[in-house]
This record gives sequence, C-alpha cells and structure tokens, in this order.
Amino acid sequence: MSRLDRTHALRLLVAWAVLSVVGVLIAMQVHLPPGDQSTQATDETSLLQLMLIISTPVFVGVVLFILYSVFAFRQTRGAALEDGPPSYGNFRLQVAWVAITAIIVLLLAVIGINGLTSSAAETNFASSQAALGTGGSATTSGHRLQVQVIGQQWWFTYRYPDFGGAESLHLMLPVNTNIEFHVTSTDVVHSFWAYELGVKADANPGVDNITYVSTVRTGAFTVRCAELCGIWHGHMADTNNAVVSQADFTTWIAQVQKDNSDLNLPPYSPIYFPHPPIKGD
Amino acid sequence: MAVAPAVDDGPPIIQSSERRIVIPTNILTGIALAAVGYWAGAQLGISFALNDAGNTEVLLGYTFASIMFLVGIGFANYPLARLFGWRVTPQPAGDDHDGPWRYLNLSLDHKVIGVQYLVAMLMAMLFGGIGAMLIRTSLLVPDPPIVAPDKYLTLVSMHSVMMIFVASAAIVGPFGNFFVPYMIGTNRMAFPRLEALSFWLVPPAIVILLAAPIFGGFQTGWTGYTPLSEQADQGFDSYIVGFTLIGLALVVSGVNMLTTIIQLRAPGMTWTRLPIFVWGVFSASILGTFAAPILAAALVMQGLDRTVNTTFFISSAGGSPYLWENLFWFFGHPEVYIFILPAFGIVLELIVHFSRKPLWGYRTAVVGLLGVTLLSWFVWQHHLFMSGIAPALRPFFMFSTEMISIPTGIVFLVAFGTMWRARISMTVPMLFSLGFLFNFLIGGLSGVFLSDVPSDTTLHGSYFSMAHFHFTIVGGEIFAIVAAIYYWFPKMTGRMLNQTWGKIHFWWMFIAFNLAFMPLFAAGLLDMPRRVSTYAVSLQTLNDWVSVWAFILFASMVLFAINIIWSWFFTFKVAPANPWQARSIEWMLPTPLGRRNFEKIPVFTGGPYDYGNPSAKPAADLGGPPDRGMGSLGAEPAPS
Amino acid sequence: MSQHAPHSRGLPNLVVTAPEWAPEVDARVTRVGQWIFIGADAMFFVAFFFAFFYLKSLNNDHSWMTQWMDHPRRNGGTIIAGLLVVSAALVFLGARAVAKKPASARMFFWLALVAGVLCVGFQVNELKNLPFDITLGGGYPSVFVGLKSVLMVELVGALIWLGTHIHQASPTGDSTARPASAVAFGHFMIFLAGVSLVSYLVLYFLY
Repeated sequence: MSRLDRTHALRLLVAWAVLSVVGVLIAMQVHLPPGDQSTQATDETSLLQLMLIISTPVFVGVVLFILYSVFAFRQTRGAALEDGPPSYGNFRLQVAWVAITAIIVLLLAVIGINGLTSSAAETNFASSQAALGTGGSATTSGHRLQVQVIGQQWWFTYRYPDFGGAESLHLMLPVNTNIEFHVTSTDVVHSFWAYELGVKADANPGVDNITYVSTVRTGAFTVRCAELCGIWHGHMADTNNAVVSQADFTTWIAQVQKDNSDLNLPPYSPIYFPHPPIKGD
Repeated sequence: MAVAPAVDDGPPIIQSSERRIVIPTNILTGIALAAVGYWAGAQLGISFALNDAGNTEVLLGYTFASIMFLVGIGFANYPLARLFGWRVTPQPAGDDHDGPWRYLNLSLDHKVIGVQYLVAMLMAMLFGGIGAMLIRTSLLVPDPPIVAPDKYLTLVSMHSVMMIFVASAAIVGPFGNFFVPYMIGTNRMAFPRLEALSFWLVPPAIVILLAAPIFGGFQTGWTGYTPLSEQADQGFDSYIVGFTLIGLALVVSGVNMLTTIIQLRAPGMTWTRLPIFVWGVFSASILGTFAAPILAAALVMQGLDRTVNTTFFISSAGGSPYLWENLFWFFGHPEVYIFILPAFGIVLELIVHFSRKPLWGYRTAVVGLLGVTLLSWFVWQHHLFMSGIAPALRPFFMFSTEMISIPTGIVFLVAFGTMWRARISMTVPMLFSLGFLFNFLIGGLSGVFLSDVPSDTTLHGSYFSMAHFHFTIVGGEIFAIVAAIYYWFPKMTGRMLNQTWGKIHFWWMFIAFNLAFMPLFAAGLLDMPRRVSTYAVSLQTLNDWVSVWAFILFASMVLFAINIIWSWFFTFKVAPANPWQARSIEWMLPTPLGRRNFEKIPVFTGGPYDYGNPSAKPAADLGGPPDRGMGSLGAEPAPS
Repeated sequence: MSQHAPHSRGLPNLVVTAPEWAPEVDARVTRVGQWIFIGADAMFFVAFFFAFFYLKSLNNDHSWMTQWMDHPRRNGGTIIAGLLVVSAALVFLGARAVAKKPASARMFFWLALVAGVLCVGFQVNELKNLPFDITLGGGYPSVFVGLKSVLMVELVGALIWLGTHIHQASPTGDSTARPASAVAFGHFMIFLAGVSLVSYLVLYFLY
C-alpha cells in the first residue's frame, strides 16, 4: 500500500467513523414499529432497530466513498484523458470484505432465527392470573387463548372457541395473555395484520395458519388486510380493536356470547363460514 | 480447426430443389394473420368450451393470434422450406428487407434486433409509466378514491405486469443482442432465428396485455395469486398468455445467448477476458432459461383451471393456492435477479471505462455474479414467510436470503476498488452508474430488513416492500438501462445524445426518484398495505408528496424521450467512433457500424480493461485472416 | 445458378434467408444449444411433477383422489408411453444414419412419424374417455389432464419437426449436410420419451 493509498484511506476512515457515530445516534432516535404492545412486537422492534443501526454505517460508508472518489480521484479538467494506475485487485482486501459482510449477515440471520423461535414461545406471566369466564381458563400455563380469525371479502370475523364459539367483528384481547390465532379464509387469500401487536399471518382458504401473540400492554390496535384480496382490499381495515384488562375482556365476551345465543353456530373447524354481520357492529 | 472451403468467393450454398414461391411476409401480413388467428381461435373456443366463463375463446384466440402473427411475419418460412424442400438462400447479414423497413420486419441481424428491442422496451416503459401516473393520481385522495377500486386494481396490474415485461428484457434484449457478438468477436449469434423469435414474442405480449381492460381487466397485480385470479373475468387471460409469451422469449433468448457465449468466442477471448457486461448477460440468461419454464407451466395450469375445469389451485377440490405461490415464486425470485444481473454488468463495465482503470478483482466480480445466480434458486420462500408454510422451513430461507447479500456486496467491492485512485470522468453514463450504486444500496439494505421473519412481520405486504423493489428495479435496473443508452447510443444509432440535457436529466431523475420513493418506506412502517386504493387519512400528506415527485420523475423521462427522438432523427452530425475513448472492442470499430461486424475475425490480444499499462496491446487485433463463413470458430489461431 | 444469393429488393419472398454456417461450427453450436433447450424443457415438466407430489401430500379436502374416481386404465397408458418410446428410438436410429445412409434414415423417420401419430391418436382417445369426470375437480385428475395434455402438445410439435427431417434426409437435404441437427432432434425425442416414461410411472402407479 503506497503512501497515497494510506492518506486517502485514513481520511476516509476518520470521516466514516465520525459520520457513522452521528448517523447511528440519529438512527437510534427513530421510532420504529410495531411498538411494545406484545412481547413479539417488542422483539420485532428491537430487531428493526438493530438492522437500522447496522445499516447506518454501511450507508454512510458507501455514500462517503462515492462522494470522496468523484472529488479526489477525478480527471484533471481540460487536460488530455489520463489512465489510472493498473491495479487488478488485492486478494487480502477482497477476502476481508467478503468475510466481514458474511459475519454481519450471519449475525443477523442468527438473531432473526432466534427471534423466530422465541415468538412462538409462551411468555411466562406473573402468577396473579385469574381464570377467565365460561369455557375454561385462558392463561394457565400451556393453554393459550384460542382466537379464530376468518378472513373473507372484505372483512375479518373473530371467533372464540373457548367461549362457545362467540363471534365478533372486532378483536378484543385480554392483557397479559398468551394467545393463539388460527387464521383462515373462506374465499381468497387475505392476510391478518395486527399492526401494533406485531402479528401477520396469511389467511388461506382451507388452511389453518397458526400464529402467536403475548399481550403485555392495554391499548387500541388496528387490523388491516395485507394481501391483495380484490377490489375492497384497501377498505379491509378496522381500528376498533383493543387489548383490554382481563376484567373488561370477561365482561365483553359475556356480552358477545349473549348476542350470539340465538344463533346456532357450528363447532370450531379450520374451515368455517360465519353468519352475516350483526347490525350495529 | 476447420478447413477453408475450396471456393474463395462467398459462403457455401446449401443445395435444395428449385421451387420458389413469392409470397410476402412482413409486419402487415403478420398483423392481418393475427386478426384472422384470433377470430379462428375464438370460434374454436366457443364451440369446444367446457364452461361458460368465456375463457376458452379468449385464451385460444390469443394463442392462435400469436402463432399466426409469427407465421405472418415470416417465422414459418424456414420450417416450411425444410418441410417441402424450397430453396434456402444463405445470406451473411440475414435480411429479407431493406432500409428502415428492416426494423419493422423479421431480421436475422443481431444489430437490427437490438434496435428493435430498444424501441419496443422504451414504448412498453411509456405505457407502464402512464399506468404509474394514473395510480399516483388516484392515490392523491384516500377517500373517496379518484379512480374506482376495480379500475384502480386493473391499473395496478397493468402497470406492474407491463414493467415486469420491460425489466425482464430491457438490458439483454437491446444491449445483449447488439453488443455481445461484438464483444466476443463473432459476426452472428448462434441461433439468429431464435434471437429474432425472442424479440417478436414481445409485441404480441404487449398488445395482449393492453387488451386486458377491454375484457374487464384483472385485479391480481403481477403475482396472479389464486384463488383471486379465478374471480377475474376474461381480462386475466391476457395475463396468462402475455406472461407465457414473455417466458418463452426468456427461454429462447437464453438458449441463443448462452450457446453464443459458450461456443462463438473468437481466438483469445478466454472466459477470463470476457467483458463483465457479457458475464452479466450470461448469468441472467442462465436464470431466464431455466426459471421461465416453471412460470409457463404454472400459467398453463391456471389456464386449464379456467377452461377445462381442473382444480390445480382450488383447495376445496384437491388443489391448493400454495401450489401457485410456490411455483410462481420459484420462478419469481430468479426473475428479479434476471433484472439486476445485467444491470450489475453494465454498471461495472461503465465504471471501468470512466475510471480508466482495470476492473478491480475481476475474478471476484465473476464469482459474485455466479454466486448470485446460484443462490437465487434457494431463496424463493422468503416471499412466503407469512403464508403459513411449514415453520421449520423459515430459518433455512432466512439464512439463504441473508447469504445472497454477500455476492451482491461483492459488486460494490469491485466497483469501489475500480474507482480507488482512478481518473474518473463524470460523464452522463457515469452519473447514472453512480446513481445506480446509491439507489441499489438503499434497495439492497431494505432487502435485509425484509429477509428476517420477525422484521418481515410488519414489512411484508406493506409499502416498505414496494419501496424496496422500486429502489432495486427502478433505482437499480432502470438507472442502468438509462446509463447504457447514453453510453451506447452513439454506436447503435450513429448519433450522440445531447450531454448537457443528459446531465440535467440525471439530476432531475435522481432527485425526483429518491424524493418520491424514500417516503414509501415510512408509509409501510406506518401501516399502509400494498395495492390499496384507499388509506388512512393521516397518510395523505405523505402520499401527496410522493405523487407530486412521481409526476416530476415522469417529466424527467419525457425530457429523456425528447433527447432520444431529437438526437436520433433530427440531428445529422455523425457521432465520433469512440466518444468515450474506451478500450473495449466495440469502440475500436467505426461509426456508423458496417452491416458485417468484422471483415476478419478479431484475435483478442488483451483484456478490454488494460488501462494504465503503457505496454498493453489493444483489446483485439482486427487484421486477422478473412472470415470464411465459419464464424469465430473458423478463424486462424493467434499469430505468435 | 449464381453462387451469390441476390439481396432481395422490393418484393420479399418466401425463400428464406439462412445465415451461412460451416458444418463443423454448426455441429458444435447445435449440440450446446440442444442440451440447454432440453434442460429448459425439463424444468417445464418438473413443475407438473412438483404439482403431482405436492397436491398429493396436501390432499386438501381429501380430494386428491376420491372413491368415485376410477383410475385410468394402465393398458392405455402403456400403449401411449410405448409408442412414444418406439418413435423416439426410431428417430434416434434415423438421425445416426442420416449422414451415411439417407435412405434408411428416411425409412426410420417415416416409421417414427407413424408411431408418433398413433401415439397422439391414442392419447386423444384416452383424454376423451377419461374414467373420471373432470368437472368434479380433484387433485389427481387435474395433474393427469395437465401433464398428458402438455406432453401431447409437445409431441405434436416434435412430429412437425420430424416432418422437416424426413424431407431433409434426402441426399440433397439439409440433414445430410448438417447431421448434427438431426442428432440433436434425436436427443430431444429421447428426452420426450423419457418424460413420458416418468409420467407413466407417476400417473399410473404412484397415485
């Protein structure tokens, strides 16, 4: 490496270090979704934040290199065209680059796989859990609250098999609970996306797509369809959902069961055709 | 090596019987026969339909129309000649027609095909771009939407499918066909008829796609998911036939391109001296040839479902939407690398010539391109992360998708090594190449965000994913195409594009593109799904900003179009033979180019990238022995 | 007769232009191209085989194969596959003979054409007399109809191609001058026969 090489490299490295630090500090201020309403959401937000933080020095480095090169390594204006030095490569540098990029992406893959396995695991909530309503306890260890999500053109219906199959057009969930979604569709492919909960699962006809969430904070959340399902795909959204306290949930589900009591709903099945929407929902 | 034929004045003529029929075949007979073909196919479809959905007639109509178009334009001539023993007239430049009329007709000259492709791709991009403008107009207001939801989705589908057609062929078609024979030192491609066929499949595909709205359009986007597609009327049949034609074009082009590069390199053009652009075309052609048939099969299955009442994709009758998802994406992921690999080839090629330095790490670059080619077969299920596939599969595909960013990063490594301590000329092609690097960096980094399942949970199916692929395809491939046009226009057309307007075009396009598409990452993070005609009112300011900058971006392309038309048809100053003073072989030839590429097959005496070495020989010796119709394989070995 | 073909001006004609190629160059180019094309076509059929095994494993709604579906008769399938194998073998033998013995090559090609046409005939007959009602759906019926149809369409195309080789196997024909193209076609027919055999196994025995 010649002296000229070292000068340029040093300048670039220093600039990169400084700008990267600034960039990372800015990146850490960005508020990323989905938030902290569930353990999965918290994990996903952390992963997104990590990726943003890793991306920042990469982005800064590339942009800096391009800008530096076009100024420092320019043809002399007005003079005849000159060639650059005949350098064909540097084996060690190439190996170093490939190794570093490989390590970074491997790291991200491992973290991602880790997050994947933990998102399916149950969160161990504090022992002050009360059994919920008729139909069985939903928070004793090993049994998650079952919620069936039925997509159709163009709304979602939610069904609670633990509570006699009570149906609702809005999704209410108790806080501090492990929940198991069974997502299916009656016509085309939809996708159940509960934004603040960090949950997304495609609704395929004839398929029981299982995904999990562990709620840790009360609050409203939005559900949208995330897979093109026809003309009103954009309208397939509902902001009237919430994670509520367990007492509130018990009250609510009891009301839903009462509303459903005159309907003869079939037992739980991955393929299911819900009744038409109840007026006023 | 082969023995020179005894006769010294011309190529050998294949003897055959003397029958000679004079029947014209040209674009007009092609169009006429296409109309007849459509009518015949539709009649057949109506009589033999097994259901009353009307798909059989449209599908058969389009199929017969396409076949009769190809017959009408002259593709049946050679098979008929062989079938009935008519005279086959060998011609070096392979043309039945003369003058500008050549460009509208079947030509076996790879230069003509390259120009035909260029014009077709630009026109298709115009149609797709108009679709985009209509989409962004509709998205100015969330509720009530400016365009009705069913028409909106047809707009989205038309825009996306048209742009996919463009992206599949817009580099290999014009520039691969035009320049690969020059770069490897041959006078013709291995299979000129296949090359011509790969072009002539494109106009029918475009016309069939444009016909979709007549039949009610289709609402599935370019991914054609079932069972939604089965709800579409005959408009979806355009998708089936149009996409099949493009898939066939990919296969046919690939067979020709791969054979040419493998077999017809001139003496001295070893694999390690191949220009990196040719490597980009080569690797993309591998993917096109072997991935497109899967798409064709899946489209046939959709067609059968719509006509013969099979149930490949209906889960209540033994089929499965997952079958489509898997088949489509097994093709679909290599497809996006078909888009970008030739773009990598262009950008690296241009950076070398405008840095006047050898390609740094040539073998590493080749390994990078081939690595991407290989790995792209193993990542397709990352499009299905949220679909409900077996959970055990997801870690593997996360891992493979992360891995593919390593060879992709090698492209940046090689580009940077080349620019290091170089003598950079900030010409218009170089500006666009650097713009490519910036845009593709963002596109590629956002791909990493999408590649891990936990982060993908929020991002999949949202505007984040839209921004990702627009940065890689538009910011990446389209910028590379524009760079290639500015670079090679003088050689292809004999005219220079106006460089001042080119620089204005670059800054206008680059700024407008980034300002239009960068906020879309935010839109996705803010809970906006893809392909929606309406959205949360809180996002209206963001969408309006995006739409305005999209209009400005479109305007920059209008400027580009004006530059092209003006320079090509209304300026008469011939471009210099080597305006960039580049070392590669196409610039060693005169402008305008002769009908015959090389009077004598060149002998390559060095790489095209030997800048900075005062004792380096020129890339090729053009003064070798005469070409005796043996192509590159017939030339004498390099003089010692 | 002029050695140089006149560059056509004005009225285009059906006399086709063929770029000149010396036979040795042609042979090498044809060989490479043939393998690439066969590879691509193999991928086309792989998609159908994937559909077979995937839909069978999913057995959605227990509708892969239901009780009221009768399996296609194996005799019919054997005849069809057998005829295609015979045809392919004849083409291959003919292709090898075309350079030295064009007359026997033509005989082989004609016999192969007859076998091929018979094969198409039997296949059409099988598809018209399916033992199951395709309108009732089902995974296996769909794959059966799909795979058999595309094989038949490719066979029809191949037989047209064979037709050109029949004429070109005359002493002044193209195949005699360029036997590589006939050999390449022979390889393609063997490939098609191979696909047919695999389909036969899968469709008639592995359901």
